[in-house]
Amino acid sequence: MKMESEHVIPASRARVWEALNDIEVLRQAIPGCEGVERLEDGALKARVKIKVGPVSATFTGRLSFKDMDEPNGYTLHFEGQGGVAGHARGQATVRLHATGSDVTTLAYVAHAQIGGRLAQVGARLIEGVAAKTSGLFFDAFVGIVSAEQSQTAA
Amino acid sequence: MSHTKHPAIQGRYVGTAVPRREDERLLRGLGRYLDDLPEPGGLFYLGFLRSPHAHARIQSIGLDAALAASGVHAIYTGAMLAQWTSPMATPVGAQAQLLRHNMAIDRVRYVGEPVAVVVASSPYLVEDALELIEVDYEALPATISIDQALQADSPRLYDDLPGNVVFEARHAVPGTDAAFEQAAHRFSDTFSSSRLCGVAMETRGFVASFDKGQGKLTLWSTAHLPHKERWEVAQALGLQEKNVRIISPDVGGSFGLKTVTHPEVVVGAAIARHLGRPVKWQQDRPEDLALMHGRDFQFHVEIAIDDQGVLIGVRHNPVVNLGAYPLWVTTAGLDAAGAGHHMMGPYKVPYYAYCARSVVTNTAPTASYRGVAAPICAFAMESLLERAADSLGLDPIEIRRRNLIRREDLPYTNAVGVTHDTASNIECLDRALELSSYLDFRAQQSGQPGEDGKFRGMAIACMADHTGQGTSVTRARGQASRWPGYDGALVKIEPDGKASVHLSLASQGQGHATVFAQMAADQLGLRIEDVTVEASDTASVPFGTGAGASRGAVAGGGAVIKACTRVADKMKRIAATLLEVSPEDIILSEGTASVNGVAEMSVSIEKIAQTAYMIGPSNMPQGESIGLDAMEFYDPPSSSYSMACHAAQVAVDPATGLVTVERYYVVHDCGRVLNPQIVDGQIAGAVVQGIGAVLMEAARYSDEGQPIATTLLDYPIPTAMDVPEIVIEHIETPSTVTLGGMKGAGESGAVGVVPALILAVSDALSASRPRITTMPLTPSRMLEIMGLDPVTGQGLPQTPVGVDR
Amino acid sequence: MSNEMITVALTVNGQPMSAQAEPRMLLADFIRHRLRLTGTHVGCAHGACGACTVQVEGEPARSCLMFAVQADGCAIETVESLADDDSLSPLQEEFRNHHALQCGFCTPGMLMSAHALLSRKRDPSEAEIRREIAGNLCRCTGYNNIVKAIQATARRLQADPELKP
Repeated sequence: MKMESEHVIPASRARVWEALNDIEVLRQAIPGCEGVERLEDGALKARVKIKVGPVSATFTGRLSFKDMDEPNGYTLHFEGQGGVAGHARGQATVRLHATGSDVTTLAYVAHAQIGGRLAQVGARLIEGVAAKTSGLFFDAFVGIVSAEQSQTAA
Repeated sequence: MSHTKHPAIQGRYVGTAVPRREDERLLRGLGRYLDDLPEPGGLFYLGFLRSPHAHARIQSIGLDAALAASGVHAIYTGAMLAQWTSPMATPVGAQAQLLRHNMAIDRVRYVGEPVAVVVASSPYLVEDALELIEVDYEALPATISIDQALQADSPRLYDDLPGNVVFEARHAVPGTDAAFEQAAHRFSDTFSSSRLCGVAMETRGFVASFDKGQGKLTLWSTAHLPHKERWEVAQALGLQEKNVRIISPDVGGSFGLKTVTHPEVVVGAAIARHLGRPVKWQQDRPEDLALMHGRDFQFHVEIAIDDQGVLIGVRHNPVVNLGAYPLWVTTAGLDAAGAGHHMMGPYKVPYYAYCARSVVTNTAPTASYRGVAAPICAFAMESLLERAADSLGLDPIEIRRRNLIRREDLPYTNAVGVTHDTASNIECLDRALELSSYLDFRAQQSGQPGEDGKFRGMAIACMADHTGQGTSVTRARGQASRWPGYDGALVKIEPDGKASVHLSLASQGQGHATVFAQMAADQLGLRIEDVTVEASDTASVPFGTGAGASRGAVAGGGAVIKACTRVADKMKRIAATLLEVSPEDIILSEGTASVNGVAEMSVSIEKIAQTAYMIGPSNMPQGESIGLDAMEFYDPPSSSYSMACHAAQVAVDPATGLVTVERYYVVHDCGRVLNPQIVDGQIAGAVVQGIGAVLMEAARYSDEGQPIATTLLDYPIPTAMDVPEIVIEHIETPSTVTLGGMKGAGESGAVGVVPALILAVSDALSASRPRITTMPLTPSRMLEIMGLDPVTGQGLPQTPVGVDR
Repeated sequence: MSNEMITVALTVNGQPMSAQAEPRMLLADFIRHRLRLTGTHVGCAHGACGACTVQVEGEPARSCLMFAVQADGCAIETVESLADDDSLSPLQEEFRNHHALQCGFCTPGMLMSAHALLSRKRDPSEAEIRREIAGNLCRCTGYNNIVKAIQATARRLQADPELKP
């Protein structure tokens, strides 16, 4: 499964970069996230509750950052297992472009492989759920970043 | 060796549409399918945690949370099971063996492979506990398709095997390659099936119970071949065969998929023995759709033909996708060898060669589905013959006529050494043409848009199926062992004069309780109400092969004829003594033995039975043994060919791509028809399964090896809305070699339907002459074939019309 | 999830019955394993095959898509309601006469769908019959004998206004 999208965020590129690496921001923005912790090697361990059609499960996953290119972007590798519900792994390449002094365009391309019941029962639903989940993430992310921005400005 | 003569079967019941004797209880809801049986006390339920990866190493399995869950009695992993069971071993080549553990130990090779098994007090609690098991996997690269498996550098499933090809069989008539080089015309292509699921309406399952005191295992199982399952379970558990009893109750369909012994049944038996408590498992439908697969083929076929359209030779390289493990203990080549055997079908082929292979991939293991390799063999041969006819400017019917085996060719021994006993191919073809008005239709409507805008087409398919194979054939095909080829019947008349027939063949819906009762009633002179057929318990039926490969009526029928003849002869001797006449003058009918021509001189079969058991006042003839029963086996000779000609008319809607089957005809020759209603039911049901295979069904995998059609919404099968009337006629050419003249009827419907429908679709689109080599022909696929974008319906300019990708 | 047992009281085939069920217990499992009426079969447990069809308040319903507690207070008919001790119902007789079953596993659901149709309409067209049973999957027969059996029953119903399917 491939997903591709662009989001315009009303914040500076440096601020977006910082937020993208802030596990507290991620915890708040990731839909269904029940916890994020940073591991010794810098990777993140996350617990995320998801629901795809009739399948709901708590995924435990590992996210690691590769090709760090501050503040232009990185590649995020992820791998998660959700018991009988299945598993997911893949990578997302995230690029940040400063399109104004306080405006950043975030573009990403993600490739994911899913397996188990999630793939079997959810095959017809998964793309819609993924798009919706990604939309919720960016809504929340933009909310957090722009709120901080206005607080800072105030 | 008995010297009894077997009279031609005839009488009141055989050949008539006796209503089925099993129906009343099934209609009342009194059937006894596995889950309907009363459950034994202390029963536990099982559920399997299955691999979500196509190929992975198991790093760790965490059971603590699941073990603490409500109702959980125990959880076992593959490593634990390996202490109690031996793996299934399949020979690969001359030296190597391929081992399948009953549950994965350190490596999983397909999505769905069992990794752990939960034992709990209710099926609901089993599901809860399965959610709590934590397994860490390290994913490995996977090999999914036949093309990938054939590549030398594809990921290997077995480190100790040189590659993923695990079976190869070659055969060549000397001079075949030279004949191809000199041939005027050659046509070739690669034909493939989509992987199918059998979708028996009852999923498989078992109840296993172990008597620790006696060391005996009883398995109520949906086994299609109970004696084979008994052996495989006994082997895996180290039990003696006599101490394993398989009872297959009413079984809700199989179509070949329940012939194999899957690991779950071995696991269940081992747990029942370990715990000393009965255990039960019933597969759910998503498991069934993800695991019970068959017919995943890719056949490259080439024909050579002379200027007159006469076949010179056939060469082919069939490849069968076995999935991750072979399911038959003795061979990895059941379907592949079947392709070698079946490709010639009803045609005369002087030069013939094949190299048949089976490959392993990271997909669910496949079993033989109704028709085995023959449907795709017929698809290839009929398609290539029509292409040859097209190229030579010959009529497609005429090219078949020039190559079909005719009565005057008999006895015809084909290039793999099998002799055709009968050949009504031309007669079937002629009658099908007449019945279906094929010629008028082709002249007037083929490929023309109708008033409704749909394009219509029609096609004929000829097929011959080698049925009722005995030990000589199974040995030649290398699949002997526990698929020996013969079957057995024990016929008993009890002291009250009522009979039971105990058969080595279990039924999965084919009507054995009726057909074999018809035969026995006629031969024993009993009313059919006084005959029952028992066929489900290895403790009480003779050893035998079992139903499958269109053999029940031939092998089982032969055994019934032989056993009944012995019992009838004994009754005649007893009656002759009681009536003081000669046994040759005795006629058995309607529960009475009477003297031919002197009806008032008679004695009831009840009295004969009492005499035989020495519980009446009369004495037995001198030298007769006590009792009234006989057990006999029948090993069919190598060849009894059923044949058929199918004719199909389809409509293709160019707006939606939907293919509708509008008319369907089968002219069929299975020799002696024992019960026309049941034979027609077999044919019609098989044709409709073929409609599913050609138009809708595909057990698809994602590129990563995830099965993605695991509900009946994603794996649609035909409904009552999808089927036309199916007109069936019979030409009865009794086999010249089988006892009773029967030939098999279970699969020929499934074989002819694939080429008939696909060629009819080609005919509907004859303006663009599409060469269709794959299926299913779903609406989106049809739009592609017609050069239209499946999403927009607009033309696809880059797609060369008439070339199948 | 609550495992608290709830008493489900309902009328099955004219008989008042009650038994305990967890809230999540499917009606199909309740009928089969609590009430021991095993004629109703479960073929898919996801509402696609129709083998578990029963009639709830006279309407065909998939008992694998209902919880037992939802049927509390309802009148339910299962395949066991069709025949009496002595004889099969006309619909069942015609199924036998027309060889409308092979393995028989789908048959109870098929009968309950057809019975609901014929109870509602005594002269359905062939198209109506096919549409009505399109939600009942059969893998053995190819359906045409089932359609013929339902048509033959309809003819008997039209000839005899007193007859019940």
